[in-house]
Amino acid sequence: MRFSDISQDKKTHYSLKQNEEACFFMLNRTGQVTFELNAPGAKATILSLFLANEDGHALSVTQKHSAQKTTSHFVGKALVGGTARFNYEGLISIEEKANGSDASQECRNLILSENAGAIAKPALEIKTDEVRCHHAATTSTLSKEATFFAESRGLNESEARGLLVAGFVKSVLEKIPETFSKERTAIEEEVMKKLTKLSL
Amino acid sequence: MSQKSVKKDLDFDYKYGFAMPERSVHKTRTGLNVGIVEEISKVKDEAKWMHDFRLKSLATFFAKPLPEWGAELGGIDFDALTYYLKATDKQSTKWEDLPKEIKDTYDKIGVPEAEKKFLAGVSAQYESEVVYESVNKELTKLGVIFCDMDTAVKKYPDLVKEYFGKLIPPNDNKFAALNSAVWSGGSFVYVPKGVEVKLPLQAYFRINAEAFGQFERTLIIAEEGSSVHYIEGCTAPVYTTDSLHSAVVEIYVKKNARVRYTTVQNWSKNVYNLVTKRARAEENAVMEWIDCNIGSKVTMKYPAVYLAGPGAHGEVLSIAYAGAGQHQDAGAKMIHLASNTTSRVISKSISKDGGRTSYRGLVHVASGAKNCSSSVVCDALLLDEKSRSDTYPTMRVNEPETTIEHEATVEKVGAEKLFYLMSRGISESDARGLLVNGFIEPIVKEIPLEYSIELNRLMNLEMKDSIG
Repeated sequence: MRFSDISQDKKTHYSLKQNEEACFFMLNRTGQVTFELNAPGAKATILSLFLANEDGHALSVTQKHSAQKTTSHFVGKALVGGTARFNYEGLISIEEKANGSDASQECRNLILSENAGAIAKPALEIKTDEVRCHHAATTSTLSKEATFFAESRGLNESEARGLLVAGFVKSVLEKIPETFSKERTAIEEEVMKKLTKLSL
Repeated sequence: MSQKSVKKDLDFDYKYGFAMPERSVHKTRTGLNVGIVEEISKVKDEAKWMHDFRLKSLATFFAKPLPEWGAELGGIDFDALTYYLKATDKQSTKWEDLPKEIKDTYDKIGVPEAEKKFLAGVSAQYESEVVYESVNKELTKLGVIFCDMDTAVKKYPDLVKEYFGKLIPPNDNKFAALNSAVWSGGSFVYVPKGVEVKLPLQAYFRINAEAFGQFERTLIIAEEGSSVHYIEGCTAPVYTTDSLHSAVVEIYVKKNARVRYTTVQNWSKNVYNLVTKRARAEENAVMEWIDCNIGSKVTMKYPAVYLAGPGAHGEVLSIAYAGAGQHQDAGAKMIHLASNTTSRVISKSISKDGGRTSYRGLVHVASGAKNCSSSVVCDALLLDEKSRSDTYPTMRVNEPETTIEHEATVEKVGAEKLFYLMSRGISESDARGLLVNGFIEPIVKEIPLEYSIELNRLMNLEMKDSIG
């Protein structure tokens, strides 16, 4: 099992060896990133977090399965506040030979302001039948019920929103395997620093 | 307009229209140019505004490129097509002349004799006219107008002019432009305020074989508080040598009105089916598209609902089936323009023998449209390793107070389920048919009984053929 923080990487293609397991993490990464699952038994977990307050940003992630029994799971969450716009494009491509593949894609956008916007385009291209493939995407704002509940417990509105947003990003960080807890703590600090700059 | 005059107007086309020899059989040369469009307009004896509309649309058609996305359309030879064929020409077809494959299918799915003849385009005019008359008598009493589009343009020019081409303008896309230039046939439905049409209106109640025309144009207007269910097409294959079908359907659903539009498309497997369908739903209106695509070589069809009034609801329920050589590129568009609007899309697709199904959809929430919610669920079933399934959804949200959900899964027919059924003595092909029918069941149950029975039988048939 290996873990790589590829937030600052210039590389755009990542491939795994036979039966290798890897976890990739990206914070505010943009552009096109491709994960090649071209060796049998390879397993990739891809995590992405995006926090933006202004400007337009675009991230495109491709999970390309060309070998048998390969697995890839993508979880991407974005917090879009202020005047920011976030455009996510995802593609799971399962080639003819990639029997026994298991792939998923989960994309959650949280819009925090009137002037923010998000576009999600999660696509699937499946060319064989011996697969498990799933994707889900949601776009919404913070739930009124949840903020109301937190406020009824004595938090003020901004504290309540802060708590919910922190929970939203932590659910991604928790997917970083326990063996890399040191890396996880470092990333978490960085994310929380970014979070305080976000206008809720 | 008095009810009596409506009745008289409706009779016009059927009583006299077909009898005029110069109108009964008419076919343009192949290819498309200004001359052909002028000819179509002249044969139909159209008013100047429609004539000009056609010519303007033709220019748009030539100017627009083919879409770069979606299915492969390179195989369409626009110069080899015939753009206008008077319906009665087709009716000379004899039952015996139909290809054996199609006759067999009619028999297998158990289409009644009379319907068989009608579907083959060989029905005696007289019989259908009787059915149409009786249905029409009921409708006229309610003030409902249900006639073919050509008649509507002549008899209700003001009504048609107000709505025609407004929701889908010719410059919307290349095929909408083509349809606008050469359209012929299709239905016109007008439901007055507060009227509830209990009987589903079916295109084949009308004797006019143009209901199945290549470039049909349908316009439905449901006034405030009214409701109507319109059914297009049939489950038996429509025999046609034409290779391009490009329809335009515009629906206006006014405040508190409800429209359901059901399509069961089973064109023969050499047809490009490129259709533009759009509805506009006003305050608290409900628009439902039920869309089954089984036939055709290539289908590109994305029924849309513009949720323009607060509280409007849009729904698309679709089934797509692609066998060998077929590509079904279907989907739905939900455009949320007002607050408290909701939408739901359920898409089920099945690919077999190298067929390809694609779901392509859009959910758009405009800035300021508060408290909207949308849910999209796409399930794909792959029956063998040669087949392909794609999902291309787009969610564009410019408003924080929304809840947009999209979900898709792709799977194969479960080996355990098959094994279980077979252990109970059911043959493999029957078991597959059963599982596939179970998969599409949530949508089939929304279709009128006679159609859903045929659809189930058709699916069983497709499964059987695959085993040999």
